[in-house]
Order: sequence, then C-alpha cells, then structure tokens
Amino acid sequence: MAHKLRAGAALLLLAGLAAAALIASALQAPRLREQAVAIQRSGDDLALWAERLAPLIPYLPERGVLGYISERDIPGLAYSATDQGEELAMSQFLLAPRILEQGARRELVLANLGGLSPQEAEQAAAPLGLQLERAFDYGIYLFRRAAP
Amino acid sequence: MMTYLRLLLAHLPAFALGLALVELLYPRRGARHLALKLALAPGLGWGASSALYFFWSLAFTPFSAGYAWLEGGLALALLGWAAWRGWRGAGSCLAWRRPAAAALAAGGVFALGALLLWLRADLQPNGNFDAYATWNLRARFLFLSGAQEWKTAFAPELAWWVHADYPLLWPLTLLRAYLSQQRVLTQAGVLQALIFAWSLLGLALAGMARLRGGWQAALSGLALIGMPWMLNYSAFQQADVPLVFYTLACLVLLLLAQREPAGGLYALAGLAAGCAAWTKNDGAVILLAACAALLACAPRRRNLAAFGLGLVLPLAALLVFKAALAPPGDLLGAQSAAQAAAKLLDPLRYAAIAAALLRLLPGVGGLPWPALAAGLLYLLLAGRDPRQPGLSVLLLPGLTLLGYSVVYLITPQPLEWHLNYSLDRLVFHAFVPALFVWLSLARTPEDLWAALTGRA
Repeated sequence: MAHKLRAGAALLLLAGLAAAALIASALQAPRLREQAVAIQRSGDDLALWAERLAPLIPYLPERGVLGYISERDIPGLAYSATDQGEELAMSQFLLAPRILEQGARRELVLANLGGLSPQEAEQAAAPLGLQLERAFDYGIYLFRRAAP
Repeated sequence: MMTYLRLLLAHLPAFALGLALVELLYPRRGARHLALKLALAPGLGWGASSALYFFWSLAFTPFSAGYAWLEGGLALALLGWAAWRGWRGAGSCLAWRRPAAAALAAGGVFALGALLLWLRADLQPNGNFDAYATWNLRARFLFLSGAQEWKTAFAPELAWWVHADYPLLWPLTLLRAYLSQQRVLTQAGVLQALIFAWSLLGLALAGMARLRGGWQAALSGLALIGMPWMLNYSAFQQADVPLVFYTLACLVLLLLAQREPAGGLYALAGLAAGCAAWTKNDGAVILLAACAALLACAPRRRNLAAFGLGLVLPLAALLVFKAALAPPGDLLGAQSAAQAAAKLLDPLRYAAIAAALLRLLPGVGGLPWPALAAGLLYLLLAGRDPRQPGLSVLLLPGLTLLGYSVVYLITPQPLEWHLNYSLDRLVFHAFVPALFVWLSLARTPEDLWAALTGRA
C-alpha cells in the first residue's frame, strides 16, 4: 500500500511539475518574441557601441597596437569598473584586428571619456603625456603621444 | 532568413562528417537510433572538423580554400562507406514505425524547447561579454587579420580577458562560417549557438529515449528547457552550452556502452571528451573526469584503447595549439607552483568556495527554489531502479565539480571575483550531466504507473 501511495504521489507531483513547466514555457514565448523585436529595432549594446566608434575608424591604422584610456586612467574621475570593462571589450571587438592596450604608452591612444568635454579631456590627458588629435561625439577622443 | 540558410548550407559538410563518424562507429539500424545519431552529428562533426582545420591552418593558413574540398570529400567518402556497410546489413535506419505516445511527447518537448531557444537566441545577437571579449572576438581577429597575420589572434599584447590561450573549437567553426560568406556576420554566432543548444536538447531527449524510453526522455527534456540557465547561456554565445553538449555526449555514450557493449561507442565517447577539452580550458577537467568514469565503469583494455583512439584528433589539436600558438594562460601561467601550493593550504579559500556553492544551491539551474524542491522530492519519491547500471558514471560530473573546486583554490585571480563571475556556469557543466545520470537511474513514469496499478 505504501508502495502504491508513493508511486501515486510521485506521479501527481510529476504531472504538476510538467504542467507548470509547460505553462511557464508557453507564457514565456510571446514575451521573448516581443523583446526580440524591440532589440531588432534598436540594436543591442554592441550595435550601439559600433555606431559610436564608426567615425573614429578612418583615423586609425589598419593594424597594430593602440593605447586605450578611460575614466579609470585619470586620477580623480569616478567610474564603474563593470562599464569600463565592457566598453573596452566592445571597443576591442569592433576595432580588431588592431590590438587595444590599456594605458597611454602607445603612439596613438583612443580615449573613452564619456562625461568630459574636449577641453576637459585634453586637460585630463595632458599629465599622461597626450595631445588631442581629434574629438568625436559621445566622449570618444583620439590622442597622440606628445613629442618629448 | 536567407542568410541563416546560406550559413546552414556552409556547415552541412561538417555535419555530414559528424553523421558519417557516428554511423560508422555506431552502426545500429532503426529509427530509434536515428534521432540520437542526428543529435550527435553536428557537434561531433564541428569538433572533428575544427581540429582537422586547425592542422590545415598551421600548414597552409586558415584562408587556403582547399580545406572545404578536403572536408567535403572526406565527409562524402565516409558517408559512402557507411551507406555501403548499411546496404550490406539488414534493415534501414529510416524504417518507419507508428510512433508511440511517449515518442510523441518527447517530440513535443523538443519542438517547444527548440522554439524557446530560437526566440531567446534573437535577444542578444552579439552574445554577452564572454562572446565578444573572447569567443567571437577570436574568430573576428582571425578573419580580419588576413592570411599573413592571422596569428595576431594569439599575440601576447592582447589583454588577459581575451583569453588567447583558450582552445579553438568555437572560434574556428565561426571563422569557417565567416569565410563561407566572405564577411563577418552576426547571424553566424547566433546560428552556431542555436545549433549547439538544439543538439544538446536533442541529445538529452534521444539519449534518454534510448536508455529509458520516451516518457523519461520527455521528462529529461522538460528539465533542461525549464532551466533559465540553459536558455540564457545558449543565447550568450559562450562555449558553456557546447561544453555541456560534449560532456553529455560522452556520458550518454558511456551509459549506452554499458547496455549494448560496442567499441565504437567508446571511440565516440573519447571523441566527445576530446572535443570538450578542445572547446574550453575547463574541458580538460571534464576529460580527466571522463577518463576516471571510464576506468570505473569499463576498465577493459579494448574499451580504453577505443576511447583513446577517439580522443586522438581533438587532443592532438589541443596539445599542438598549446605548444605552438597559445600564450600563457591567466590561471597557470600567472603564478609559481609554490604560490599555488600555498593557496591549497589556505583553509579560508576552502570555506569561501563551499560558501559560494551553498549560496548557489537554492537557485541552481536558475530555477526558483520551490521548483527545485519539488523536482528533488519527485526524484526521491520515484526512487532508483536497481536494475539500471551506470552509477559509476556519476563520477564524471562529480569529479568535474571537484576539479573545478581545485582550480578555484589555486586561482591567481581574486577568489571572490572569480567565483562571482563563473561559478554558476561551471556548476551548469556538472549539473546537467548529473541530473541526466540520475534520471537514467531513476524509475520511469511507466514504472510508477505500473506500481500504482499493481502491474509491477
């Protein structure tokens, strides 16, 4: 009898679990579709970042190592480590096969300083030995190492 | 849609190669074997083909057009051989029988899961951080660097988070898709991730159907598509779903080999385990765990030799890659043996890893805890079928988790950060295979019904 009860309870539980899984899946499908359509319209983070970097690309060499600085390289500026990491990774992806090296040691340095105007960016990068080469929208700048 | 179709066509030779390998090494006839063969073919085909393509690239550069001919010719020759063998044997793999209700239920679960995975795949067309920082980036680097400078993808100047030392199964497969269309295409990554996810779902269903019948298969498929981790990780275009696919393939083949002994099954299990190591560095831990499981469940010399034979191609590709191209990794290359040993003796690190695992447990799979508790209660109530062999195969997920814990113990990265960033995905590698083994040992709904109605 206990054997039968146990089997019956297991089957009931299984039926409940299967029904819950099927209902949850069925409810999930239309929501996923709506989100996908919205993303197709607006683009994902990488697509948006690509628009931001597109004007810069003609001014870069086709390959080689470029420097990359962002708020975390400028003493005193606030930043989110996660955002900085993601933006650097997206930039590396979009600018490949060029290699991005964090820091200001290279001849050409891409700067991602979203909150700074061109004048502020120039002042902030000067202590790193950089001269502003060209400014783009959304806080994207191209610097060149100043002659010693 | 046409882009997806063109990409799919470009992958067909690799799938044919996979199907030919499976057909030659697992020459069982009948429709019920066909589903399993179809689930195994794309992943094993991509694994074998990417390993061959790696050697081709070293010899001639990845841009040499001859590889497509080699792959197509090899696939045709092997398929021809398999067809000739099949024609000589009795029966056909396409023999039709009216499907049972259980088979229809399993098919319905596959259709629902495939739909959900497809809908979710569109949400992140470029994947998540790991996809664009590591996996897809390397394919993009290889493609855009050109024939003369393709090795830039492994340059030591690349940031550590690019993980230029990671194995190449995913990037080389993606590169072949780019080359087939002569451009970098976002859809190529989406399709690759989707096919791996569909294959994993198909494997869970078809593998369980072979082992325990259609109702248990439907249950294992539902458990998989019910996991938010499964839907999310496949859309992220990371190598975790492919890694779980190869782990589960190895496990299913080992379990099958215990029921219907055949050297070919061990060879395919070896190929799958090798592909796991050729997919991600974590796969090396899975390969070692698979070897331990093999020794525990089938320690005959002939089985070990067959497993080793299957392993040769992906393992050779991995070792040559590590020796010839890969820069030092961030785990083993960034510290001395003495530093690593000191970490092994630090009790605080053990406590931190155990605490992180305990925190993760109530939400494992991304499931709400009541669903997990109900699932666990079901497994307890259903109980184990004592006639089913295969308990020793649990060593595979068990040792995988143990191996990962050792990696966390000695990681040179900040431990909390490393755990936060990766523990859920690593647990996913072990959780899906462990759940599958447990379901393969548990009593099926048919058994429970028979017990309830007194027909047991």
